[in-house]
Amino acid sequence: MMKTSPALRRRTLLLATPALAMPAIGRAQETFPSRTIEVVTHAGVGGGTDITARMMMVHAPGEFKQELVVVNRVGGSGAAALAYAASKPRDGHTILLITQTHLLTLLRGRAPGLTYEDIVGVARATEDPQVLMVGKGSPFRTAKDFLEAAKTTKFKFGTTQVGGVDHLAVYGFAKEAGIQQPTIVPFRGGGDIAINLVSGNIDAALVNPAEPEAQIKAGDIIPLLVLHEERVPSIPDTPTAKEIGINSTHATVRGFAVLKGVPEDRLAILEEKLIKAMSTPLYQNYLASTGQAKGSVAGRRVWQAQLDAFYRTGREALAELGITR
Amino acid sequence: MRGQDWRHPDLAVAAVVVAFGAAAFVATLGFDRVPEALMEGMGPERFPQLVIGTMVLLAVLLGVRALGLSAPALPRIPPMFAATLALLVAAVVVFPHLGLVPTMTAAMVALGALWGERRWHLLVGVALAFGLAVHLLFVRTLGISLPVGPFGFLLG
Amino acid sequence: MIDFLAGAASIMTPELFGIVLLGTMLGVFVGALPGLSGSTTAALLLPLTVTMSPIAAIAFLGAIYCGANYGGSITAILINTPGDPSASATALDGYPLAARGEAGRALGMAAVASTLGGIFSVCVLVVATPLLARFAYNFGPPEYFALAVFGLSMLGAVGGAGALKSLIAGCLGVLLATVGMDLTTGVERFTFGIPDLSDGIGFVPVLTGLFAVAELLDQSTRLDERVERHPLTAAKLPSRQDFRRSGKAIGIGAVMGTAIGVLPALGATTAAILAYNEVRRVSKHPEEFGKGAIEGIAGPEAANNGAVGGSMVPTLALGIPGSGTTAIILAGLLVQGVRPGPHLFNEQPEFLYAVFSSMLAANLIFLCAGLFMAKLFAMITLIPNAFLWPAVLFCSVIGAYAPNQAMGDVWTMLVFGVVGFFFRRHGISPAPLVMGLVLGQLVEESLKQSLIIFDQSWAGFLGRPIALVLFAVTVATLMAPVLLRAARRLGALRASG
Repeated sequence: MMKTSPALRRRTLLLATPALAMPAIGRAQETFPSRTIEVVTHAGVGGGTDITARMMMVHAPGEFKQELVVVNRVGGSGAAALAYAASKPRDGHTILLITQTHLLTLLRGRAPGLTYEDIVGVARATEDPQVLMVGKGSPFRTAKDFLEAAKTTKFKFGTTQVGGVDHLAVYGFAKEAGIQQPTIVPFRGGGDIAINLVSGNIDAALVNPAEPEAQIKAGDIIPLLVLHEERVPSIPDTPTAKEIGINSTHATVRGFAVLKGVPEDRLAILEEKLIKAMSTPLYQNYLASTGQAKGSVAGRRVWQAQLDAFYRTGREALAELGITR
Repeated sequence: MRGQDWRHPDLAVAAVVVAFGAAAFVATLGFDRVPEALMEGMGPERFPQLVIGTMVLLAVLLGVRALGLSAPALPRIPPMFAATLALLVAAVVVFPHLGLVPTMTAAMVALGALWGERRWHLLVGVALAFGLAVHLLFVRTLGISLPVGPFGFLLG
Repeated sequence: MIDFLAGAASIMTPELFGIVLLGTMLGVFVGALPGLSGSTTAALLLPLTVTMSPIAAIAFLGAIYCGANYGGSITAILINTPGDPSASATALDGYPLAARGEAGRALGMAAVASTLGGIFSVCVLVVATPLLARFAYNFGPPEYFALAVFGLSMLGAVGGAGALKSLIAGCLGVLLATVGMDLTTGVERFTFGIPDLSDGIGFVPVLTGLFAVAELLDQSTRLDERVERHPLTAAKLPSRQDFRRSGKAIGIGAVMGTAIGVLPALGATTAAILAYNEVRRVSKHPEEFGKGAIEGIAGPEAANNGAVGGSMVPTLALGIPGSGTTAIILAGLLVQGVRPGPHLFNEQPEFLYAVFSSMLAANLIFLCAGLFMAKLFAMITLIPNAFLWPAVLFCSVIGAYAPNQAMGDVWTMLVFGVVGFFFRRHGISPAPLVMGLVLGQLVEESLKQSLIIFDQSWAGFLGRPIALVLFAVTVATLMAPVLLRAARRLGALRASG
């Protein structure tokens, strides 16, 4: 899929061997990147994060004048991907495509030898806002009514993995909105959650807006509240949490990061070129069509701040829930 | 001890399953504790324990039934089995270091030779062609990265 | 239907046909290769489809999907290595046939049954998608639990002789499905601190081990046996009598496959295994299964291709993917700006007709290719062992390693190779283990979800009619042999008395 000349390929593979690549550290003034860039993801081939990486990579080789390859290291909720990155020289030729899951894995000490301080954000790739939704059988049609009732009733919320990112979002939202902590019904994916919202097996859920789009359009699922700074274009009538006086934003995010130790000038090059590669119509179209926020692609400052904020709230939430390891 | 044996082969199966079940049960006792706030109904160890219990019970039944039976002993496993398995293990141990395609190409030749093939030029030729085809398909066409090893540049 | 045919005819341009042809052949090829599945290939080619028109893109991905589900049967039959997990049930009878020197018969049947199952499911897709899609909403955790229990109740029967051993293998499969992070508590189970295990034991490595590596190890003990195989018998296609014998099996497979495919949580693998059971259960000679019964190929192959059309139902009508590959197709739709949902049927019918007709075309293409190439492929069984099995080993290692690039998967494959070897030595079929592994996660998770929904009260199941019906069917199926025997004894008593 990646077009490159055979001669280039030979050199990159030669340098890609760990033993020979070591001396590359510290030659910052040399042209960067000087060999194939590896994009490490925790998703298997065909997983959501893997697809994001491959979409970005369609135009990235043109920007970097180098080849990029996806390295899939599945296992341990990102632990295997982090461990792989840690085994590589920190010279900018290995970048991670991380999600909040990686941060939780770091928080729970499941990535040996690494802490959150080792993660340096480079650029955000996708931001998928969470939206509070109910099924059409629900008696509630506005967020205010729902939240009022939720102060006294313990509702059932569909999420994915208990102790995972979506669960923490529900936990955080309940705290911020001042409602009772709901009962969690975990499912394998957003599709299952949508079906169970429609059939009334669960009372509500925080869902990314694109997933149940068909159900929203058919009136089977009703979005109540957008947990994002701005309204979502596909559901323009749904208010944001801020509008009704609740300070609560949650989103599923993916973005690029490197491990600490990559020289500053290389970071800047990575940031600039990645953002350029993600500003192409192809990638922007991918964002729009999968319901990601318009401002998904963002630079280091925004992305690092978001990571920091999630790390802080995640640590608190895990401690409060009693998940120590 | 040839031909009729008082020990039915199913007894060995039952014994292995019971031992495995016991070990698995011990492992369930070591699961992390679930924080109070997350506990909903069944704990994480309950379902596996139920399955292990059923499995051990069935194995005991199998063993008891086999006690009263006699059957011809199973044929011996020839040494070639151990040799083949050793070769597979060796290949898997080595490939992350020497590269997947080179290691498995060598393993193809080795396994063919182990199994008695002596037409070396054919063995090596087929293995090389196969290795090259795999490399072209997976690494070049589909962009799946495989461990390249120190000789990876040869494939460039 | 008439609209559909008219639409199909107007849309099938030479360019589109070329794309479907390419996609189908690619699908058959990667489906047959143990290292690549249809979903992996579709995912890798997804960025490529962005540059195509929406119709071409989806036709291409759909054709890969159709082709791959058939392609898996080729290697399952020839070398006991399911190229795609959905073909694992096909290996149970396909490989014994090939080993007997009747590979062509098995391959021919697989091609025909796949096509019939596929065409049936596409017809259902054309006629009933909006209706069936609503049906998926009726399946919540309690219903899935009942369905999983129904599947597991067949465990004793699936392995043939030795029900006790089959049940033990089934339990082992269910137990293996619990490895990894528990969905309802987040606790890691049986992972022993190995990150590769925290997402659970991979399906592909277990299958590759149980089937391919176990067969390789088994071959190593039988090197001095000479099996005479003749090119002529190997390449012989199925006879008219074979088809007559398999008619019922194909029917059962097509219907079960389509129905199971419609349910988002179940896919082609489950469909094939459940259909294999059912075909065996209603067969007049169940003792032949596992030893090369031609219906044992027809049933699961019709089912796994039936599941293709079935899983397109929720994908197109609800935007909820029914399988790994349809998840990629859904991504392909979204990237193209096509919003799935019931409105598609009113607003963009020509788009749907194009998808349906390209799936039909894909089925016909692989039928022609399959029958034509069956004779050729059958010759693979004539390759000397010292060349064939080392190549299988190469493919297996790649197949286990490439998708996740985790060494844990490769070790899993080796361990299950040894397990499979000893299973065979002691007369235990791998089928119940595979089934336990497929259904184990579903049975546990759906039970726990149900109980949370019912506030931990088992009585909640009483309020779920579909679940109750499924439970009743389970009990009836389990009791049927006993009741039949009792009735026969009663009849005999009457006759003699």
